[in-house]
Amino acid sequence: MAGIWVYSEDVALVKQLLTIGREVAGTLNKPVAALTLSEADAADLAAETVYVLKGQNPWPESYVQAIADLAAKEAPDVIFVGATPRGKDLAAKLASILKAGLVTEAFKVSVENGAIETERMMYGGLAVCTEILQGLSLVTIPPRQYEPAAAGKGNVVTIDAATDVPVSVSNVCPIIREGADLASAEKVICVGRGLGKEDDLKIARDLAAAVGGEVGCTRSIAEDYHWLPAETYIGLSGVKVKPVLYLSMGVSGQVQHVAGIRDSKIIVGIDMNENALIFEAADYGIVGDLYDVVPALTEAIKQAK
Amino acid sequence: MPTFLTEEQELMRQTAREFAKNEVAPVAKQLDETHEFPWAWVKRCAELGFLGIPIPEEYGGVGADALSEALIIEEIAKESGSLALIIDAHTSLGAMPLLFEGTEAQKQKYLVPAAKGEKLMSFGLTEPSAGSDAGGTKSTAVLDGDEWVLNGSKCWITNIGAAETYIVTAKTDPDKGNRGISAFILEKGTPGFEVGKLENKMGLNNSATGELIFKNVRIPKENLLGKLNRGFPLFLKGLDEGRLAISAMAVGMAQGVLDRAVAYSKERVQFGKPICKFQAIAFYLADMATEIELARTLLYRVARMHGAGQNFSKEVAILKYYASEMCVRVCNLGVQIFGGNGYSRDFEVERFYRDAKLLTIGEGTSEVCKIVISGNVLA
Amino acid sequence: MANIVVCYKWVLDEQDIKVNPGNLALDTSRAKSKISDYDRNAIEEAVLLNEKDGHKVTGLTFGVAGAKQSLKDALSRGPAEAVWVNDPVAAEADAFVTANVLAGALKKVGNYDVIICGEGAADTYAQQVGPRLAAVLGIPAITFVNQMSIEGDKVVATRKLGDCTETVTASFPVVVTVLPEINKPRIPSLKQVLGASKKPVTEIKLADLGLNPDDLKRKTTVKSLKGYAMTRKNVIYKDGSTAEKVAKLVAELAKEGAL
Repeated sequence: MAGIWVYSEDVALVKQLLTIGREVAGTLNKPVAALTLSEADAADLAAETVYVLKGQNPWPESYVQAIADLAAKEAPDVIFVGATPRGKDLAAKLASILKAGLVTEAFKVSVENGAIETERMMYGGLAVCTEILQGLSLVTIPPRQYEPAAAGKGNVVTIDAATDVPVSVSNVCPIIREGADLASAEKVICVGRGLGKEDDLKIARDLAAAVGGEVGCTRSIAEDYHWLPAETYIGLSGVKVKPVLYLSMGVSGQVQHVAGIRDSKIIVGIDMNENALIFEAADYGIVGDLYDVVPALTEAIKQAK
Repeated sequence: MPTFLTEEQELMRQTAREFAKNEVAPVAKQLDETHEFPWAWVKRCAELGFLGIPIPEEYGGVGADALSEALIIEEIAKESGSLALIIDAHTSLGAMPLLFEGTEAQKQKYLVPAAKGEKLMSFGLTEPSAGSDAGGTKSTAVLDGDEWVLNGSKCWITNIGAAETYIVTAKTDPDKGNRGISAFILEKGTPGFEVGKLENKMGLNNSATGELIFKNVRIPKENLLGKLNRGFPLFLKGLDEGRLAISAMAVGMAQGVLDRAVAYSKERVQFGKPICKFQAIAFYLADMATEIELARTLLYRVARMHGAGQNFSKEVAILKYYASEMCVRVCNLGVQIFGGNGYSRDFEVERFYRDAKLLTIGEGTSEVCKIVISGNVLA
Repeated sequence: MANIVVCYKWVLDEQDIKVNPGNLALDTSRAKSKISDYDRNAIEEAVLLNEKDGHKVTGLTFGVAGAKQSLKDALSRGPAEAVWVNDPVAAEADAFVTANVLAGALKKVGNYDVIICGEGAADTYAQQVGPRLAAVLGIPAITFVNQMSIEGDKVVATRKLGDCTETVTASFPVVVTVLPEINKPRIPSLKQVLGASKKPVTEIKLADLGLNPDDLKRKTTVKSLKGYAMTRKNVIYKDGSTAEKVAKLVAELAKEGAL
């Protein structure tokens, strides 16, 4: 059965992928199938067919050969994979086994003349590349790009999956985060090298407390200065945030950093240098000494609330 | 820009550029304010090979040619004139005379640790009454048994305190003027050898410059560098090296100012448009670029002459005279383009403007360079 | 001792690329090339492993004629030798083609135990070549690695995956893709630069790899490549006292519902 497939090891993402999956399926007049690794997840997915891949291995990456075998048999036209690290790993291997094209982290997907057309970032966020996929088309899609599809019910097909892989996995442990997850935070306060010393993170934390947000940073604060953990740097190779409010202090606004904040609803920059690139990327900005501006802003916001 | 460099020269320049951008630029302004000696930078320069660029590998150096050295100093000077000057004083003035005239034992003992960057060097010629006129040297060295005994003082000496090894000049035959001067190797910590007060300079705040004092300093007989009474030709040769390095600094600093002025003129808006759209400003930038490119062309040519083993005393005097004066003019225009901000310590062109002036003075003033040039022209 | 092959890509420096504000066309005419930043982490990691345990490190790149320039650059960063597959096809290659070519080159070179790649290329950041290469060679890939070691004939690596970390162990041969946080690539010293000239370089022609023509045809068609236009309000408060500027900002943010 040809059609549109969606897969992620994370069921929340499967539901989001179903939204774009259904849209593309509607245009192409094809059915939708969802792939999941858990029977429990299969019940309310809005796809004609829900394949439950049942194997012995708890490591999601070990299911790639089973998915490839199923695809070889069922010949889907399009496979959308959730662009988590595990998803991107699996999608690249799957595309290789199936000798198919793959677009990584498309921020826009459409159907043009019966083919999948995608847009994604290039050159560290400087450019947008529009690509057309021919034949079996794989696309990975970032989390939270689409709203989850409404619940539905499909024909559940359980597949016995061979999951033997020549690696062993151990020490699986969650990353201990200081504060909540930046990627899903509603408000993000970001610090850059304009901050003079580590102790001064306090003024960022005070502002974050006032707005009810999380503190993130630029790559150099995490990797060169180690003032904040590597998990909190925002940018192309770090966390991509999409808050209602992103507010930066002492951030110059290099293109790789801006690539990680562009989905924010409102971007605010505070910096001494009126020529800082951050102001080109910002909705609002204050040119001034962050040591004056930020404490004043924190007070003003407390009073406004 | 086309430079006709070898791949190795391009890569060595890339090394210097990455170091200057990643490690020098971020703290250059702050260090300028504190006036401290930049030990962290110097340590990194040692690791990267910047303290032994022209010294052969057999003596612990890199063994690169004069053009490579010029390229590296140019890159560093784009961010910090002080650091470029420290390298110049160490290598061109300090280490090169050892390479030229040192005995094998002297080279092993002093040149190898200098080239590896383990020990910094300094060169002392100038005295209160003897600068360009070396014949006026008042410091004396007298042989007493197996030791030389030095008395007197030096001023305007770069890398003092920081350096472990000093090459200094002293009169060994008081009746013979320039032909009565010899060069000696001094170690820091030798009894009677003192570092005097640091100059409170206009710029180049991170290079330690000041007095050396000799009070009955006794050093072994074998620490005479080169032949007795032949110190003058030796340091003239060292000065040629120094002039090349100063010229590379001039080109680098001027380029640093132009780069900053170009960026600023595109961003700074007045009367509704970026100031680079005003012809007055655009033409300043054109003048700066033209002068820099002329100086750079001559710099690379003179460096190549040196690399080919040709005598370059006249050419390097012409280069040093032109490049240093050019740098002062370019810095002046740079500050002008920045307007009020150019006069502020928050913007870096002000630092370059202060630092640049030394270039028309050190290693032979413009006027002394003109004596050399006219002497050659009239010869 | 392991044979470590580190793959790198010679890319345009994005900082030199200009966007025409009118039609958003990219001007790459003044752009210089560089070793992809993330691949510098891969090279550094291979060199660190060598310094720790003593391995043989080979650099491998697939590039056009201009990538010749990359060889001494790469070698100055520490590998003992370099292999360059030189063909104009590289200019149009996608991850499918690149993985096929690198796999062909590895088979030709023969000895490989650990293949290290950067997590993504600085130009495309598609993050595909590493895992695709492993799939083509039929060997495991360990991706998103922020710590690794070689123990006997095994690689032990820590992966960082958004919400968790895990340790993966795999026997040779294995592909490892490393995150930029794994190390800080050093600046090559002048001696390393001059030493690079003395290291051996092998140039391979694409035709010598015996690949199927289909393996060299990219899977996606690039329809357009344009500058990204960030459209934001750009209301910047520059003049006035801190209190005035802050008051204006807070008023606007309140209106936007961003507080």
